[in-house]
Amino acid sequence: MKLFLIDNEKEYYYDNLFDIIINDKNIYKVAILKQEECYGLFYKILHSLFYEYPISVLDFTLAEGYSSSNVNNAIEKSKNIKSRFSAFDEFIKQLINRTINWEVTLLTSGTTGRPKEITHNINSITRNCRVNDKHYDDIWALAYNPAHIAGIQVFFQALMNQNTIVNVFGSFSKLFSYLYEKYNINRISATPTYYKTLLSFNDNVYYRIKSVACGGEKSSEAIFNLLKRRFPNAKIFNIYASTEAGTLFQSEDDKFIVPDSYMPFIKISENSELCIHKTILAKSDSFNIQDDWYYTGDLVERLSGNSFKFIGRVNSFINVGGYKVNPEYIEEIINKIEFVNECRVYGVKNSVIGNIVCADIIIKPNSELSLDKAKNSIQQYLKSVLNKYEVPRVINIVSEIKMTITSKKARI
Amino acid sequence: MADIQEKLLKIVNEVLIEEGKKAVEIYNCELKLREDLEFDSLMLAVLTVKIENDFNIDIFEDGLVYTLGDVLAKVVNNEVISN
Repeated sequence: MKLFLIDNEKEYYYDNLFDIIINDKNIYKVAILKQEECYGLFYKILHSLFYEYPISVLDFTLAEGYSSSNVNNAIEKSKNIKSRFSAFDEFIKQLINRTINWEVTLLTSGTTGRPKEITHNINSITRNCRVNDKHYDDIWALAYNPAHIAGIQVFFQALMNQNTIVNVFGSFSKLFSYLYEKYNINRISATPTYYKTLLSFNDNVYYRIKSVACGGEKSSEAIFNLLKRRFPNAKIFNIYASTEAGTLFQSEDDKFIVPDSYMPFIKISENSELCIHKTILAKSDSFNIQDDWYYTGDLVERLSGNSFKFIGRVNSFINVGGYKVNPEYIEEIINKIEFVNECRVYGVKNSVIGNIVCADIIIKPNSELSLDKAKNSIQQYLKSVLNKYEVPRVINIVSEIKMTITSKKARI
Repeated sequence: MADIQEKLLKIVNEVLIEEGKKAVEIYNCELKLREDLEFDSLMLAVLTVKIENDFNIDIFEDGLVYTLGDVLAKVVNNEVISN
C-alpha cells in the first residue's frame, strides 16, 4: 500500500480518501501531516475528477475553505452524483488517457499585479506529465503552493504514476532535511527563490535526489551551479510554464529551445515579449489577446535558431524617471558579490522620480564585514558597474527575503 | 527645532557623501539644493526617502522645495500638525 500525500510535521493517518470515493479501503492510503489545507484541496480535486465536475480554487479559499469539515460537506453534496468509474485503476487509466471531463479554475500568482482567473482542462494542465516505469519509485517534494498551477501539476504527475507526495511548501532548514530523510524524497520541483532560501539555511548535500526542476522565475547560471553542487546526482531542469498556458518548454540550463512542434504557436514580439498563440491557451476572460496572440509579459532574448533566454517580466521593470530598470538584472549583479547570499530588488514609489530602486540583501553568515561596511561596499561596487539610475538607492541588510504566496520574490 | 535641524543636517550629509560630494558643516537655510549643493533628481529622491523614514513626511509631495530652509519648514510644519 502506498502513502499518497504527506503534509509536513505532525503526523496522522487518514485512510478513507479513496474509500470515500469508491468504497474500496485497500486501494490507496493517505497520510496527512499538519496542514489540512493541502489534503483538503487535493481531496477536492480527486473527488471532482472522479465525479467529473468543474471546480474553482476560488470556491476553496472564499466559500468552502480547505479544511476537513468542508471536505465532509463536499462528500455530502456528492452522494447523489454517480461516477462512471467502478475501480480506482480504471479511473487512473482514463486520467492518463486524458479522457476525464473536468475543469479547474485557478488564479495567476499576481507577482506584480492583480491575479487573473484561468480555466484549465485535463489536457492543458497535464500537458507535461510523464507516465512510465521510470517514475514508479518517485517520491515527490511538493514545494509549490498547492493551490497554484505548479503545485497542481506536481499533484497530477504524482497521481498518474501513483507516487507519494510530501508537502514541503514553506519548509526550510531542518524540517526539509527531516522530511527528506523520513520519506526518502527523490524528486523536487520549486522556484529558484525556494531553492536559494532552502540551501542558504544549511550546507547539506542531498545525494538521493534524482531530479530537480526549477520554474516560475528567471533562473541564472549561479542558481544552476548551486543546484548542481547541492543535488550532485540529480538531473536539473529549467521549466518555462505559466498559469495561462501550462508547461511549455524545458531545458537543462538557462536557455530554452522551442520544440519544432511548438514553433507555429510561439513568437517573439518587436519589443522582445514572448507571445503564445491562443490555440494552446487555457480559457480566461482576462487574456489580453491581440490578433490571436497572447502577450505573456515575459521578456526574452532570442539566441541562435529556436533558442531564447528569459530576461524578466515586462511589468516588473521599475520606471525610474523614465528609465526602465530590470530588477532581475540588478539581482544577478548583486548576487555575484562575494559576501552576498541572496537579494531582492524592487521599486518604491517616489514623488521626485516616479520610483526609486531598493534592495533587500542577505549577507553570508560567515562574512566578517559590519553591516555598515557591507552596505557601503555594495553601493560603491554597484555604482562602478551599473548605470546611475539602476543603482539601488536604498539598501537594507535583512535576514530573510519577502516572497509571494507562490514562493517567488515579491516585486512590489 | 535645533534637534530637527541636526537630524536633517546628518541626512543631507549622508546623501552628499554617498555621492562622493563634500559634506556641509552647518545647516544653512539659504543653501539651494540643486544650485549650491548640486543635488540631482536621484539625490533628491534619496533625500525624500531618508526624510520620510525619519519624519514620516514626503517633502516633495507638492514639489515646492528649493532650499534647506524649505526642507526644514516642511518637516517642522508636519511635526506641529502631528503633535
